[in-house]
Amino acid sequence: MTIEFLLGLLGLIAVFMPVAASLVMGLLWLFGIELAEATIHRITATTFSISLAACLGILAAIVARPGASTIVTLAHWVVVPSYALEARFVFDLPAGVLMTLTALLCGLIGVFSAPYLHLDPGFRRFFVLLPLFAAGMMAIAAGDTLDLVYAGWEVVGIASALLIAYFNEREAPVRHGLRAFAVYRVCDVALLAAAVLMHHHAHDPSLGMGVRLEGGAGLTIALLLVFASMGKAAAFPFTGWLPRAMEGPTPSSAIFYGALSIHAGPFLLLRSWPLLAEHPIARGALIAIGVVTAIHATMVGRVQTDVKCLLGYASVTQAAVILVEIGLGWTGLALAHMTGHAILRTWQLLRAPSLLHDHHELVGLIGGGRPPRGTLWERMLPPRIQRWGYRIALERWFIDDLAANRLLASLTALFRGLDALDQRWVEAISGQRPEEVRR
Amino acid sequence: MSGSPVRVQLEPEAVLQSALEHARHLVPAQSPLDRFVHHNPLHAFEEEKFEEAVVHAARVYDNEPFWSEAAYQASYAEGRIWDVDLDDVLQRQVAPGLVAGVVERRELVRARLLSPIEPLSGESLSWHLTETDALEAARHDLSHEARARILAEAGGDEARAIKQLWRTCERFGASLGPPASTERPPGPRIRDRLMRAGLQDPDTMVAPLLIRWSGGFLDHGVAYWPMADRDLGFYRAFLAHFDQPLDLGRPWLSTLRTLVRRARQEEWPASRMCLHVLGQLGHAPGEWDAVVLDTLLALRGWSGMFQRLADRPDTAPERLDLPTDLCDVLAIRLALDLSAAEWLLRGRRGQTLVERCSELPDLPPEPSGTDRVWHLFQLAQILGLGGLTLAELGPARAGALLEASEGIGEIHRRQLWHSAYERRFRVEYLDAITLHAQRLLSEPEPEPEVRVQCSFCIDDREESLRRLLEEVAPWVETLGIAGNYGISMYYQGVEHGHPVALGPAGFEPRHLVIEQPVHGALQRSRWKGMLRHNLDVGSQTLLRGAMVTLGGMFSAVPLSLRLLAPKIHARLTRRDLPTQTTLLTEAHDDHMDHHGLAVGFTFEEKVEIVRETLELMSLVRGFAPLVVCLGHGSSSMNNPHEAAHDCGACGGGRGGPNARVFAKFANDPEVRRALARGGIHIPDQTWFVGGYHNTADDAVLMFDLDRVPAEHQALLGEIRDALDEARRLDALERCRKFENVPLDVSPEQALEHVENRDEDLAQPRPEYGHCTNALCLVGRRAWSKGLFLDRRAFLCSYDPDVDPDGQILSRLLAMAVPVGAGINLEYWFSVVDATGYGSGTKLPHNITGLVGVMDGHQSDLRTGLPWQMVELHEPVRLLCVVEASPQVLLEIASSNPDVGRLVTNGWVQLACLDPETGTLQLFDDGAFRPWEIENTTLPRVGSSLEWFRGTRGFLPPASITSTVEAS
Repeated sequence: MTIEFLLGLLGLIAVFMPVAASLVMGLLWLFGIELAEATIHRITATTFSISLAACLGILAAIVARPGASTIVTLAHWVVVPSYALEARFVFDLPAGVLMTLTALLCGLIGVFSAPYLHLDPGFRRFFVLLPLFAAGMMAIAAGDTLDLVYAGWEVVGIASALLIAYFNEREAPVRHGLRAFAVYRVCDVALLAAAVLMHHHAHDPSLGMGVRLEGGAGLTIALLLVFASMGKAAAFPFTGWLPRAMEGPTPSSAIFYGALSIHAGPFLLLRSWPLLAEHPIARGALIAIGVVTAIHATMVGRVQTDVKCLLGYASVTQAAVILVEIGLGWTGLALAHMTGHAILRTWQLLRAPSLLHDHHELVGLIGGGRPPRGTLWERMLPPRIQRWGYRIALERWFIDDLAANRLLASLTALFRGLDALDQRWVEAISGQRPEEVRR
Repeated sequence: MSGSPVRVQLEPEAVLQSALEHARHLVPAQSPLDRFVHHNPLHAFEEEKFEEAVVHAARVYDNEPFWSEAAYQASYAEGRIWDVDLDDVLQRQVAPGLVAGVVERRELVRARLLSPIEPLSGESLSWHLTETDALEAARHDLSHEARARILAEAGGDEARAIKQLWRTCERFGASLGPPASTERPPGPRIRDRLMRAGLQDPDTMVAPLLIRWSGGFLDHGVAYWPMADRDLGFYRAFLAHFDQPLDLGRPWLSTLRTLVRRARQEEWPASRMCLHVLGQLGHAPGEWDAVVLDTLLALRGWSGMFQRLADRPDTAPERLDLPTDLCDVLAIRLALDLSAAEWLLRGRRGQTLVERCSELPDLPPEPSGTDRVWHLFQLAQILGLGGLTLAELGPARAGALLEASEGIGEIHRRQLWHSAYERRFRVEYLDAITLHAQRLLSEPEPEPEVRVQCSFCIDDREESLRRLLEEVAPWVETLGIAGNYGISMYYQGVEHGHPVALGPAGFEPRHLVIEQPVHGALQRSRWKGMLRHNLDVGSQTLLRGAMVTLGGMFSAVPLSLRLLAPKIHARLTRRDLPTQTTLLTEAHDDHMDHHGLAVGFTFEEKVEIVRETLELMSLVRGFAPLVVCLGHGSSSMNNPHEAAHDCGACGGGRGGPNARVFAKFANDPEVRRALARGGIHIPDQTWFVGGYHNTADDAVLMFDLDRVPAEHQALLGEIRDALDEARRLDALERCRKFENVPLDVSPEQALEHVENRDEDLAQPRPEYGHCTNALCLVGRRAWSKGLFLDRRAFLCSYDPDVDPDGQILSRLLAMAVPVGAGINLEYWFSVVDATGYGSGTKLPHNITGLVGVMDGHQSDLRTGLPWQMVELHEPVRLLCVVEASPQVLLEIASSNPDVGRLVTNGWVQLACLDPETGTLQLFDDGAFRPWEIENTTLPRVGSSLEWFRGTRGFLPPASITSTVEAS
């Protein structure tokens, strides 16, 4: 048994356990078979335990034989001359790391959520979406072709949106789920375009191989990938959906927005590093986006008064730093940073409802008084500027208002205009009023 | 002439102030989370009769007045309401008589209660008629007779019979006329006018902005950068921040910006802004009460928090002393409302806003209520009237029948259901108490020698521990007293960073007690705290955050450990605190600390505290050698409402220190000498021990055991063993309510389970708190001893023999009734309307500013109790049973307005127990009336364990006789 075979076998086990769990539980639910909470819990725990064991096996094999990697072509979806859509996985160090993170954190979240969501009407829904999300993350981690990554990318997006809208009896969660979904879709278009261009120019949508394309095609693809990663990473100016994603139950907020899906963007770029490396313009753009996002998020984060938004902006800040690291070519650092950040943030978000408990303990430890806060700003800036900066930070740099009241309002006006034009046109050629035509 | 402009100036101001005063009483009065104390959410309505008040308040707050009809019907199906209860309620509350010559009125009401008619009309009705079998088959819930009668008219052909009936109803339809409107009158705010015209809801624009700024203003330590200028008050701080250049993407704020500039230039106070905007919105002063109230209730949780911090700044998590006047909030909210309305009405005809408003269309409301033909059709089926019978009645009588049925409105039905529901509870428990008392009178139990007295808080959660302790150790006498033991203090323990208030919530303590280690000075682990704090804050910043998160992999260890083995992680991270400590309780020459608190208590105060407390628990003679006094509290993880599980008598604090201080005072020989002069003789060999019961993990701690005299050590060992056994059983009794604990666990496993549960991050139900509370017994323990009360009863010790003039009882009830009613009613309302009065599911709760929780990303501050705390609760009003004569009780009710109001207006139910005959009288409609029992037997079992083993749901009371057999 070669190490390549071993890698491939373990990798497929790791990837397909959550797929199977989600399918089985989803289908049973669809056909009206209600599993007991304890059974669902056991299935979830088993799934992620096996998946995690396989992931750790991959990491162990890579540690034993540094640089080992394998590519597994599972199936050809479409084959025509000079063109193929393949389900092709790559199992190497970065894939192993993200897969391990996914299995570990999703598993722990499963353990957490069973008692946390006990008796909640959405219990089953959550436990179908959790492995589905994990399956999407696995595809992003181990997908060798952009097509497969795209599939995973979409699954992660839809699972995220559905979990933000988990409490669908209230309006805000649904609205914010839709908002996240809309932002995802805008950025997904870029990923899809990148995949198409890759097929067109390189006849091989592989990420890992580092395609070298002549002329502007390479740069275009690189820029498209940077743009695609911005949605999931909540980069400026798309930051607004992330704090709003804190509508779901605490564990899903923790894993999705604190830990895993926010790193899907940086990971995509990490994977495409060979391509990015060739294009300083794309790297420059990436660094610029990272820097602006980091400044934006850290500034806005500092005035947040609720614990979940506070942690949400903290996550965006670090995801932006990771983008900068990738832009600078420090891919190893970026991978390590991603891992540490994902685990720490999950831990922090999971205990967010303990804020008061922890606060009292802290005050007890330091012996009274206020835990010290930032004073640099108070020492350095005149009060007028402080107030000004505070307002801008509290209003999140107005980006949400600009998007809603300017961009969307203009788009709506444009479409209304087009609609009116269309009606007049119909009237002109049919000689009837549009209302009559509709009837 | 000179007087008139002043009056014109003054008068609107006075109207505004009176409107604000009115609103101040109606916004929720919930304290910040770590001082959570249960209170009646409808405190402002206590002057009204309960049944009227809930309906009135439901209109004011747009909440539910009672449980839903479906919930009562489900209870009926589960046997929590019996037919006799409905009979009784109909008998009392519905006048007899024949309706339309067809049906007895009471039978009509009963039919409407038991057979719901779906409120369909318009589109929903046509869908229902075409898509369901409503026109082909009879209702599925018809009685046999009704069904047979209807079918008989069409020779047994169901479809034909039903069609025939429908046609008759339709035929009568023309003469029936339209139904009475069930529409609520339109709200008074500009927002309501815009909504009626089909425009965007301006609240969706205003609320996010106002929540952000309110959150910034009320933040007590979450944000890294606090808001500036908070000492100016919300209104001025807001103006200062908004009078700044640069505001992008928010064209709707242009009116606000103009207003802000003008208000700053002309130095308007907040009230001037309110008056200006109210004028602009065209509200006449007569409407202001309603407008101001509705405007403030739009974000009632936030408004309430402003008001609460203004009323009681000491309840803030940190003394920032923010000026939080409600007028400030109103001024900003009104200005924002105006700005949003101006924007939404831009470009419409009219000079002023009022003119533009008057031009708005008034869209007809969506049809609501029940279609009359449909109603008649359903009603006829329920009453067993077929098409022919109905046709014979003719349109006039059918119309009269329909009108009578329509007159039995939804709220009326729910009120009737509720009466029946509470009646079942009353019968179950009052009968049990009567039967138990009569058993005790007819076969008196031998009284074993009392070797230890053990006092607990009156809290319903201590009922089981007391009962189980008595079963385990018949030589223990238990007592119930409010868990603050007569002490109201700020207490700074070795684990505390600053003093915490431990005393009744009604007022702020004036004394300070400090705990100190016996050996050496207190070693604070300041560096540990600072490290943790810096890592935590650092992880949220940019550059430090990058460093911290790079090392974040290590948090995989605590993360996995806490989730997989909570107890082990808790043990590893537990703080190392000095084990031997002492309390500084002595006052030295009026020594005050820098907050103006008296450090310690004077000798006179100590004597007074001990005397009052002993009297209140009726322990003034017959002292046992050892008296154990337990306070209580609760600890849990990931629970923003942690303090709601703590001791209510300690104002949402943990009452161990109170018991400890009390025991210390009671052991003081000087104090005892002074008490003896007042007639209370505590024998020299009696020793008091203070302790603490954690109701979440069922741990029992005792303090100052090293000071217990040597001759008591053996007894101390015995009582500790007995308490250990009792708390294992208590854990087991609690576990039967936790659905994810198997029913067959052993007491040891149950204890292990609750210990884990209390440290579990993932556990939204660390304990069920006061869930299921319903009773309050005031009297000698003898009457309730050996009665299984299923953790539903507050138990106050009271001995009428030592209180001939009712003085002690008066003080006792003045404390117990409002506290018990506060807890009970908070649960009542949080169950009845879980998202209106309660705070909904706790899963998306998000702590903000250390003061409250929001739902998810941003919402109103949620008040009331989360669903997970109340899901098992049965909403019945507190039933107080007091061992006293009706005359004494009536006198107390008339002399003490706080108690009298609650009793006479029906916010609590009151009964009295006659110790001579063991019979009860129930206070009903202004007088005590004898209680007649319906049940004649009370189950007898050998032990509590035998009774509750293997069950989940509510258990009826039972008499436990093991104590007799054992002795």
